[in-house]
Order: sequence, then C-alpha cells, then structure tokens
Amino acid sequence: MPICSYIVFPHPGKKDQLARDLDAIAGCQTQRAEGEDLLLLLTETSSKKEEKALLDRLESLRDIQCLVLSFGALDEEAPAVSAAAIGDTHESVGS
Amino acid sequence: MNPLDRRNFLKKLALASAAATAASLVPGVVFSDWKELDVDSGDIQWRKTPCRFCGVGCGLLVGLAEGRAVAVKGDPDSAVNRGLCCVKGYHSVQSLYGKDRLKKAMVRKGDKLVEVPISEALDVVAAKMKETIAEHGKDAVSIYGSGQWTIPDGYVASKLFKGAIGTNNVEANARLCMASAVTGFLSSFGLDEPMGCYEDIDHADVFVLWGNNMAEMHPVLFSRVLDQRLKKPHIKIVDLATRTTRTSHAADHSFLFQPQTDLAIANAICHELVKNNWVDRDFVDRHVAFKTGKTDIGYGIEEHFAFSDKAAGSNWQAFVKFLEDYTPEKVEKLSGVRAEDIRYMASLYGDPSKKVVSFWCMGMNQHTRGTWINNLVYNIHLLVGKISQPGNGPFSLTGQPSACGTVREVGTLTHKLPKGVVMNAKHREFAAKIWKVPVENIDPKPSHHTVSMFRALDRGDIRFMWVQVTNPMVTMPNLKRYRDGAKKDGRFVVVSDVYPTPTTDIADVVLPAAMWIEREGFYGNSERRTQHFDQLLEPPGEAMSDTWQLIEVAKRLGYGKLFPWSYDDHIREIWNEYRQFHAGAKHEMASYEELRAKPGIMWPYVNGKETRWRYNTEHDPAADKAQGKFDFYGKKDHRAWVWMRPYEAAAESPSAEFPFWLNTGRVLEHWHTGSMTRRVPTLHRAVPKSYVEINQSDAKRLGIANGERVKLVSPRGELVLDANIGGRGEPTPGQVFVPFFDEALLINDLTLDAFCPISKQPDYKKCSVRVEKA
Repeated sequence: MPICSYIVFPHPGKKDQLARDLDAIAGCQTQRAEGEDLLLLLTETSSKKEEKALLDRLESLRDIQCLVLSFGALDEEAPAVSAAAIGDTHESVGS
Repeated sequence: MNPLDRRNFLKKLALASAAATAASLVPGVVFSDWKELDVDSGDIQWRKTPCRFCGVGCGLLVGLAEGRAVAVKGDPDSAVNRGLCCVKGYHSVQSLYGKDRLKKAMVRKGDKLVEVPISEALDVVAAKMKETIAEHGKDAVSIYGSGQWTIPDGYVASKLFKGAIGTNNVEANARLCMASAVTGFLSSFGLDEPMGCYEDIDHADVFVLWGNNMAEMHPVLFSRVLDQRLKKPHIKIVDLATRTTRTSHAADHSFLFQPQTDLAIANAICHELVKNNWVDRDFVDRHVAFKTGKTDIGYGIEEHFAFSDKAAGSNWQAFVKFLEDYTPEKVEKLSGVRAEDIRYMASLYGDPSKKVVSFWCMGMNQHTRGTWINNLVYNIHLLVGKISQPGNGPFSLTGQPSACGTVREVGTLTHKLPKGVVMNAKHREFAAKIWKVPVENIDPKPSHHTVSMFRALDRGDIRFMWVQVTNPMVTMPNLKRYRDGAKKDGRFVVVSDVYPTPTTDIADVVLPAAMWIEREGFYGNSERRTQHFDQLLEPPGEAMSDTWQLIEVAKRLGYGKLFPWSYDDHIREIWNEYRQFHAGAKHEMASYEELRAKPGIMWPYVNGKETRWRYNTEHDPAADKAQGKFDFYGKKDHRAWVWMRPYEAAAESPSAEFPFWLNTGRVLEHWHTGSMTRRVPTLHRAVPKSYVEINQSDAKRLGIANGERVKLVSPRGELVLDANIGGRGEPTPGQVFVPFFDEALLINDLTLDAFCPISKQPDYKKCSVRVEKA
C-alpha cells in the first residue's frame, strides 16, 4: 500500500496546468508553491505494481521538468527503512 | 491504530516531509493552499526530544506506537524551531531501524570479529586497559568521543579517564569542528560560547554569513532568517563564501573570496570602520582592550609541534597603524572581493541604525588561522559596539547536537575539566572534590589534542583507544596515515557505535550502542540551551548506552565507588553531580526536574530565568552594572580584547603540480559520515554517493562533462569521483569541492592534517590537488 510524496518542478509557466492534470489522476494530490515553479505531489496506490505504473505515467507527462522522491512508505506495519548498500561491505555485517 | 487512521497519518507525514524537502531546495518557499498538518492520532503517543543531528537543537515530537518510533513532527513549544523541521529531522527516527543495526558485541579473534555476550566484551575491554596501563603507563590509554556524546556520556568519560585513571588522553571529534570557536571566545572574551541566542534573528536587520552554507547546514535557522526577511523586506543577507551554494542564491549579496583571505577581508572591514569614523568610541573606550599575539605561527604539520600564544598589551594608535596594510584595494587583489563590496559590508556594520548578526560555522573554524578569524569577526562587532544586544552579535554555530553541551561545557578535551583547565591547581582541586578522587590523580599537563592523539597511536605512544559515537576512519585528515597506524600490531581499538563503519572495521572490540531516544540523556545546542530526553524505546539486542558501557568498564577496573548509581536513576544522579561544577550566576544550569519538563533551557539559568544576552548588564545577572551597559567579566580587566591578527597564507596552496584548492564539507541530506542517514532510503536515494564539484569554466577548459569520472590527486593520495558541474554548489574557479559523507569515497585520504596552532583544529577547507580525467 505505497504512499509517496514528491517535489515536482514543472516547465516554466506550466505549474497550474500541471497541477490540474495531476489532480485529475486517481491517487494523486498536489499543493502549489506560491511564486515558485514547484509543486508537492502526494501519491497513494494499492500495490507496488500500481505505484510503478503511476510513476511511469508521471514520467511521461511533458510538463514535468524534474520529479524528486521525498518520502516513501511501502509497508504499513514497519517504517520503510533498509540498510544502504554500503553496509554490506563491512566485515561485521552478518557475522 | 486502525488502518484508516494510520493511512491518513502517513499521507500527512509524507506531505510534511515533501514540504521540508522543498524548503531546503527553495529556501523560503510557501504553499498557498497549505493546511495545518494535523498528524495526531489517538493511538500514537507523542514525546519530546531534541533532534539527533545538527547543533541547531530543534525540538522534536516523536510519535510512538507499539514500541516503535513511527513519526516525527516539529515541537511547536520549542523556542528553537517553533514546530519547523528539516528533511533530516523528519526522517530521523528511520535511522534507528537500518537492517544492519549492531545488536551484539563483537571481539576480534584472529582475523574475524566474532559475536560475544556484551558482558564478555566489556571484560575484554577492562582487561586490555589494565594490561596496557601496567605495561606502558596510564598515558598509553585514551578515549576519543564526540559532540554527539550526550552530556552524561562525556561527563562519565572525563571522570573515569581524568579523575580515576589519571590521564588527560580525553578528546572528542568536536576538536575537528569547533575548537577554533572555543579559542576565539576564550582569547577575546575569556569565556566560551555565544553571548547571544537565536532570538537575535528576530531583531536583526542584516545577516552576514562568513563561509557558512546555512541553507544546507542549519536549514531551520536559515528558514527563520528568511521568514524575517519576508516580514521585513529591508533585511539584507550577505553571503561571503568561497563557493556558490543554495545560501548564496537566497542571499541579497553573494561575495566570493579566495580561500584563506577572510582574514584580510575582516581587517579591511575594520579599516573602513576606522576610516569612516563608524567606530563607537564610547563603547571601545569603556569596554575594549587592544592586544597583539605571536605571528608566523606555523601549521602543526611537524610531528611534535607545540605552540602557545602570548598576549601583549597594545593600544588604539597601534591598531590603526596595523590596519593600514588592509585597504580595500589591497585586499581586493588578494581576496578577489571588489573594494566597493568590502566598503559595502563595512557600511552595514558601521550604520548605527542597523542591527547586525554574523553567523559562521566550519568555514571559519576549520582553518589554520581559525582562532584568528574568530577574533577578527569579534573585532568588527566590538569596534561598532554591536554585541550582546538583541539583534546585534557575532554567533558561532555548531555542527553537532552536543558539541557545546558535552565537549565545551563538560570539557571532554585534553586540557579541560568540567570547570576550568587541568593546568590550574584550583580547578583541579575543585574537580577532585566533586569527583571524590585524590587531587594528585588529575594530571596538570594536557597530553594530546586529536591529531596528536592519532599520531601517538601511530607511533605507539598510545596503545589503547576507545572510540565512541564517531567515525574517525572517515573523518581524520591525512587519513591513510591514521588508518595504517590504528591497524599496527600492538594497538587495541574499541569502538562503540550503532552501525558498522570503517572504524568498526579496524576495531578489536565492537560494542553495540543504544542510540539517541533508546536511552535517557541531555544535549546542549549552539545557543547554550540544555535539552533533556527520556528513554522512549528499548535498544535492540544487547545494545547499551555509551554512559553505561563506561560505567560497566569503570566497575571492572575497580572504580565502582566513583560511579555508585543504579541503572534506573543514573542519569539524574550524574546530572546532579555535574551541575555542581557550574553553580553560580555565570553558568548556573537548570535542575533535572525543570529540564525534564521543558523543551530546553538556556544557561546561565538564575532564579528561574534564562540569560539571553550575556555580558549585557540588563540581561545577565553575572554582569556588574558598575561597569556600564556591558561587563565583559570573562577577562580580569572586564574588557573584551581586540586582537591584531594579520593575514597569513594557508599551509598548502595550489602549485604547478597541484593547481586546485580542495575544499570538503557536508550536504543537507547526510549527517557527517552518513552512517545513519545513508540507512534512511529517502536520504540515501537523494544523494547516494559523493562527487566533485568543479567550476563550469574549469570543466570546460579541462574538457570534463557533468557526470564524467575524474581523478583528484593530492600529495597524499588520489580518488576517482563523478564530476558535478552546475549542480547545487559551484566552487570558484581554481577550486573543487567534495562532500565527505561517503565512506566508499574517502576524500580525507587527500586532505592535509595541518591545524590552527592555537585551537589545534585541522583545516579541511584548504589543500592542493590536481584534477585529471579518469
């Protein structure tokens, strides 16, 4: 049951149109920055597969210049944390 | 919590996190349809704590459910952050739950670290300490802690090593981050720590940021600055730096200077203050004394380097003469800052109608003349009398949550005691009385500062080192020497930490530590604010607080009578004992009960009242009104000292073979060496690995494209990184910048272990490198 939030940088002048387009997508909700070309996007989907499909759809939107993930909760029972890849190189891991 | 509530809660938390991230990317951003984020839920219990990360000391409310920390929000009752949080704060609790969290102790057997019960590991530590002291003497054992030590951690470490064992081999990584601020305060005012507080932000008209990327390093305070400018558009922010950053973009003026020339710029500002009669002569005559110190003082590169400064009395005429070398035109040639811009900065400081705050952090402190540049910024404020008043003051920001509380106030540095210094017989007697140890136990001679301590480990003068809450095998400058030294035969290294790191990799014993809210403790932030936190969670496995690890070893060494406290109340008992050191109006600290009840209290705390502006006789109960509006009582003459400190070159400058300056530092998303924040997926994904920022003109000249692999080579080592061109930061031409958070890309293999001869703080901002295509 993924819940994610993103920072969205629209192409110049496209913020309001992009916000309307995003709000029209099921599971998407935006907040607009005042005086800045920037949106917050909250997504709520029912599965990882659905989240991936939504992300593909977002990436195809031409008015988005850049999309930055800010928060992701994939499992409602535990915080979405995992070891960074770096940890696996240490001698003490798993010993 | 029912699933619907939890889902709603997570959505709000996700949005709050995005807003915090947006504020860090675009300082001052406002969301017009913003609704108050209400993440309350009946099934979540909210408990107060200071943030685990930087020295700002934001108050957090941590949401607890079913024995886990599940959420964070800013504490609206905290005077520091007033409900705000940065992106690290919002994600802070996730750093408790990395899958490779250390839960068991380990002891090296042969080439392997092998899990053992923690009681057995503590036995090994104590036995090795006894053996080392018996064979090599008490000064062969050492402890190296941190500005992330809680106050009880540092207090117990100091009492055990200085009071019981009798060695001054006690240091902390704060030596690498704010020692120059300490010696700056001591030499100018006779007492450590800022005279003002964060409330200065609400009163100031001008903010001058001296080499301080506040937007990334102190984002919540910077948000407060930007918020004031939104409300009061006349406010000016001046960014004086060697690199264009997010702070520069948010500032009204960005002045870029050549590394090390901040010394000359500060003197040039003073030159203009004098020339234009902007000096507050009444203030200067009444409250200031002029001093000179030694010059051409070296860089600490030699093996047994020693230096002590000597103040000599001087006067106004000599000071004016000294400044003649620092005309704006001369300094423009040296620094690259236009003479008219230097004059503009002087006019801001000199205008009696403007209140000015100067902020700085690592840019001025990690400097081979770190004490000097601190003195020089104080000079500016003292000449115009803009100090110790609401909205007027120099303000040294700290990097770590308890660099002030633990290292500076408890005194976990070789020369320090909780009150005073080991060299002073009365201070030793006072400490011995509270610690209940024979005064002879306390050695009157300081031993090793941090760089010297690691050199001693390499040479074999030190044989045993216990490292707590820090990661020196990533952070030491000229790192290869100290890594090789620590791995030599006959060295024994104990590491207490929460995750595996390059430092645990070289350890002989690894002790799993309880982290932050898994134990009770106190931090002390940049503005003299002490903050208590309760134990809110059970530590995983056999993890144990650093305080209790030290007490367990002390008992095994036979010092149990000095640490008689039960586990249940040891933090309260330690606080009550420690607090005796600071009794009196100059440093009175709040009681355990008051600190437990409030989101932080500033010292001196006298008769239930915080002191917001020290040395100001209206606000500071220790200040003598007979001295006038101000009483700089840290010095015997009750005056603040203006020092004549010249420009002197860096220890290592670019050359034909190594034509670039190398500057190192931090990024918003990662805390220091990344051992915690790189285990938070969002933060790790945001900046997954280190890189080298190159100026666009240099990149074009060298034919290097963004993302291309480049090799940096210094006289000490080399490293291959991705080029970052036109990114969030851009150094001046002829300079490169590399973040140090990435343990897989150890930039400190290239840096130089030169340090300020007065503060002994290394300079991580200036050495020379060559840039090649990889």
